[in-house]
Amino acid sequence: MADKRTNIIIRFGIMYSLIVIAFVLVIAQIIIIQTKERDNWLALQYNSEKSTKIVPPNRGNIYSHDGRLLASSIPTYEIFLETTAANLRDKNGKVFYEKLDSVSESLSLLFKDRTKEQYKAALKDAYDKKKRYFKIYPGRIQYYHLKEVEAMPLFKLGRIKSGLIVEEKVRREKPFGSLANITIGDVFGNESQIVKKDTIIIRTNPKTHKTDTIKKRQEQWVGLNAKYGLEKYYNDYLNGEPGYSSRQKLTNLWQTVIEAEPIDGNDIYSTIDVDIQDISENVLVETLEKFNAVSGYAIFMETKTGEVKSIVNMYRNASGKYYEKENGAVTDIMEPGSTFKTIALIAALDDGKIKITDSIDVGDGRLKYHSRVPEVTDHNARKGGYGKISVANVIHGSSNVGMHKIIVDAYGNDQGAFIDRIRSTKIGEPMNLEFIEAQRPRIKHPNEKNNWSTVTSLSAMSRGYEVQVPPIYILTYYNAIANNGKMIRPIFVKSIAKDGQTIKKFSTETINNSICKPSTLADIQEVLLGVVEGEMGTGKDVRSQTVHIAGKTGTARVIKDGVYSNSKHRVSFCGYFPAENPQYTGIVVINEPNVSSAGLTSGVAFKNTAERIMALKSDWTPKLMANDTTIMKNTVLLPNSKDGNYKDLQTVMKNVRLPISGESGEWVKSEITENETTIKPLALDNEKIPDVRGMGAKNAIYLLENMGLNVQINGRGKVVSQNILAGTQATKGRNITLTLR
Amino acid sequence: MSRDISIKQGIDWVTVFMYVVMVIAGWLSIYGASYDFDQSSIFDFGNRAGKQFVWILTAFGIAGLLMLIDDKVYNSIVSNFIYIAVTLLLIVTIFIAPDIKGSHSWIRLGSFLSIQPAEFAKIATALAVSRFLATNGKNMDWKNYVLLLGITLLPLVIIILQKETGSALVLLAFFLVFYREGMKGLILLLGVFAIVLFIVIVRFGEIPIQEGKSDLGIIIAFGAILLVQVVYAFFVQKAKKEALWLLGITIAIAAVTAIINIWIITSYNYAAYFAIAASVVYWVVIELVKHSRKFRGLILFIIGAVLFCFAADYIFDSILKPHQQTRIKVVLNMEDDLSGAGYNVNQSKIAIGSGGLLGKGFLNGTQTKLKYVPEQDTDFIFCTVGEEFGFVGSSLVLILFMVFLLRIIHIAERQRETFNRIYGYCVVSIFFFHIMVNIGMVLGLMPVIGIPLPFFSYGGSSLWAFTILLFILLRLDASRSSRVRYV
Repeated sequence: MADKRTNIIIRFGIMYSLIVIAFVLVIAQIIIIQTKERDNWLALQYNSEKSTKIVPPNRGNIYSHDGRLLASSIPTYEIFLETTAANLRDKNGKVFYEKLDSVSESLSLLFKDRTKEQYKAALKDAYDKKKRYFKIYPGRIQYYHLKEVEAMPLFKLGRIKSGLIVEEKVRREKPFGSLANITIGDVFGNESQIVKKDTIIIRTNPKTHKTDTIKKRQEQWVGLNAKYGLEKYYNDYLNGEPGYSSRQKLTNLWQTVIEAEPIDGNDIYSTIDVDIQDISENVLVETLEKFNAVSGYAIFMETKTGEVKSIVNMYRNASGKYYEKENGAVTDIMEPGSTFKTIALIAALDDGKIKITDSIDVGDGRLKYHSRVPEVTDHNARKGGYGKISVANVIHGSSNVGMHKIIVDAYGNDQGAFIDRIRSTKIGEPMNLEFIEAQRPRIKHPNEKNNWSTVTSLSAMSRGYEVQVPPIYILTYYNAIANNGKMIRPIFVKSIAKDGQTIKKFSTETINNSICKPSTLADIQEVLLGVVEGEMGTGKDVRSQTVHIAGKTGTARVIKDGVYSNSKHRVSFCGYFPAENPQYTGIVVINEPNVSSAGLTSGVAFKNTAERIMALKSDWTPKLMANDTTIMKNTVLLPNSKDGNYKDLQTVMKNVRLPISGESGEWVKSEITENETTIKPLALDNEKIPDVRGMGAKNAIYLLENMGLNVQINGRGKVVSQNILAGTQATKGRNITLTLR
Repeated sequence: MSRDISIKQGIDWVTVFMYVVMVIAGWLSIYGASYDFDQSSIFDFGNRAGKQFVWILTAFGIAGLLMLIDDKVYNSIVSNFIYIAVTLLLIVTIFIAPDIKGSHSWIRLGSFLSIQPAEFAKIATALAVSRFLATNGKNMDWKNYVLLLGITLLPLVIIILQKETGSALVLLAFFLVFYREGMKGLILLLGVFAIVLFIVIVRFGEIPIQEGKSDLGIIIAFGAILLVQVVYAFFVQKAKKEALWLLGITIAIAAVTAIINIWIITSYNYAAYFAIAASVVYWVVIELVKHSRKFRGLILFIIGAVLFCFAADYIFDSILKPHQQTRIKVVLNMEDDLSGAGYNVNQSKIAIGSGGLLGKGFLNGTQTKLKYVPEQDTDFIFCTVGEEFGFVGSSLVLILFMVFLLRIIHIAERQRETFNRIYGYCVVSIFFFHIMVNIGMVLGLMPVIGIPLPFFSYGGSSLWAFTILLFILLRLDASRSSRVRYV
């Protein structure tokens, strides 16, 4: 027993001592570091000329829903010659004069902007004037050009010996040009990602042991800042993390040591469908031009998922052209007008205040309900009005008098109940859209201090005035009608990926499982179809031969100088299609067209867009998708290669292990023969428009935009035609339209 | 009611106080380490200190919850279930975890939260080991030894497969527990000897002597093995004559080799091999002549040690990854890896060395601020303490840690239940390993092994895990006094 006890005490003692000894050793080591070794470490810090340099990461790309590039960062370079470099001055400039001739020739051959003699003269001049920062080539050059420059005589001696200075700048490119420009967003491209800041460093001189404080310019990475759109909202994801490098003396040589590799930014996969975006944009611009409107927005989203497939914001500029400017579709807190009538009616129906079959007497379409308030009129008041009509017809004909009567009769005594009912659908709540500039709707309430008028407000709101709702909120509400009452949040991004691996997925998010009773929903769906296809419908112009559209027109007078204008209107159409099984919900809003009919303007634009989307997505009809019965023969099918950058083509063909033959060049045209892809170099001349037929959009846009042309893209796939012939003299700023198929 | 009161009274408030002090000191250090040019508040959730604050609050919550759980659940089948569940989670993690800097050990929960199951493996293993030893400790046969070893090493192997070698090695700390519970001290000594041999072979293996014909590592290692034989025979087995004879023979072999070397270069390696072989033959002959079994263990030891020496080279060159080799070489002063592990350690030594007696003051550390020290708020957090609070600050932290560990030993020893005591030793061993390896690494005494400093390093998983580990013990300890009073 005693032995056992002793044994335990020994073991306990050993554990105890082990811990104490270990701590004593550690403290001893700290003492050693701080005393015996201290001067060493201080010297290492004191003498280190090391300043950390930032290695910026690559910003992530933004893709369309099917992986087409919408925004990407492309590095460009500026090249300078430091003519005072020691090696160039040695032995009376032996090296410089020896290589001057050959390097001038190479530069002239590569850039073609000056002759060999001009280059030679310029370099010589800079050399004589001892310029430290002589710009060899005036513009920015691409990576492959840089590689060629670095292989030139003189420059291949290396940057230090040849005095070559290379500065990199990253340019954000949008391969589809202005398409969905505002939604994709923009970055402050000219701003540096790196700022220099003074940092205070406390250091101790290892010899005198005096502590001093020095200021050191230290680089700090701030990343790219974005202006708006998805670039802005997802800036942190796109930016990545910087790496660090420093100059260190290793084995007596100063070397750049990468201490931490930069981590590239994540890629954003948006929900935008480039084809639908293209259709929607073309239709909207055509409509705006036709009616000489001030601006217009169009949004189309997938009914079931909430994925926004297209969003267009067009504004007229001084020269009468339309271009993407602000994100009005999510920021314009407009008075919706008649599209809000649906929302008001759903409230009354759901509260059981009225039935869809009840009848309302709207008389001659004029109603003076208060002595000091202007009368409420219907659009057909001059023709004598509708007389006695059903509640459904009130919506079909968009009767203001009818809506006034329904809502004021139902809620006149308890005005707050109307607002409570509308708010309960959650239409008024901010949806946290992926744009920091997005606005939320403002739906006022009699119990809140916000100039509610017990005389006019209820009547006005029944007709979509005195409320402010950005178009996307109206769209979200109508989408709920199309989606069996379930209100879902519109989303613009499907997923975020890192190095091709999805790291974050965004799925459909329900805001409200059911905005109203099923019976109300059924009534409203029928009414909205009636607006387009019924006898009395204000949306008759929206009726399509190919697809059933349901929706509601809206015309609102615009406030000009504080009063409602009689001549300026905002017209809109919000609806969904195909009505029998809604796939898409959309809204088209046009500001101040020269025609006040919503059906003729926004409605027709909606119809045109809907028809083209349906044509594009014809594979929905299952009978068109019969099984492919073709039997694959034992033949090798060569991929249909696009023309374009030779190196790209080479990489692709190498990856799929297919042969290419022919002459290479930077830009090539490819031809497919029996079992081989033959290429021939594409003659490029900086002055003449090249033949871009056969190329993919990215390469074609790249080539043409580099020549200063404005490129418009129609369709997808390869370029099949260009509206300016190849070989035409290129003038900067000229528009060229490419058709792709 | 009376039960609640008794638990409150039973809580070891001294330990709780030390815990809170360390957690808050850690939080301030993280703020100091990540304190940037743009001054942000310590509560700003955008920065690490703000996030850590959330982890701390939740950790306090967890600690409180643990005090409410009945202490009897631990010494029961529940511990086995926890062990099995965590082990399965570890396996699943290998397959579902994304690749983060080469390791597959983090599981994403939602979009902003990730946890590292390996941190929780310690708790599960501690519970399972305690349960196993408390149940079977009295009758340990070889089957039970194998089982116990399996329980300890299974999570270790899985975590190595997750490429988190540091976290895996922590489980080796359980051998300290086994020692306290009766494992032969010899096994610990053998372990220490193996480490020494490994270091010798790696450290001296690359130093060429005799124009590269000899391997200094092997010579020193074999010399050490011979020395162990002499010491063992002389002091343990009291076979003084035999021991001195062996010493003499060995010296003679070395001397003869040295003399031959005057005329012709002969590798000392041959001498070492010859001496070792001779010693084995020597002991075998003695055993046969004297019909004794005294030296059977010694013979096995020699053969094992020699095999280990030959394996060490292979382990180092082929099993360890290049970055692990570098880290070991750095700590052995064989390499100045200025851009990798050596760089970190140099920078952290600059930070500590420049701290002086009292340090540069809170938030004034520039080594850490300029991000010279990577992982400054996780694995290298201790250098922030050293730089900003100097020798006094870092010593205070170390003393606090030491008192904390000794206090846990004290708690463990006062338990009446075997399970509780063993669990207490598990806790102390795990903390001890973490603290020593982490601080040893920062001070350049240990190779760079990425394991956190308890309560100081940034990170939710580790803070939660250490909190749970500790508060289970405090809960067990709290009812110790309630039993005394009410049973």
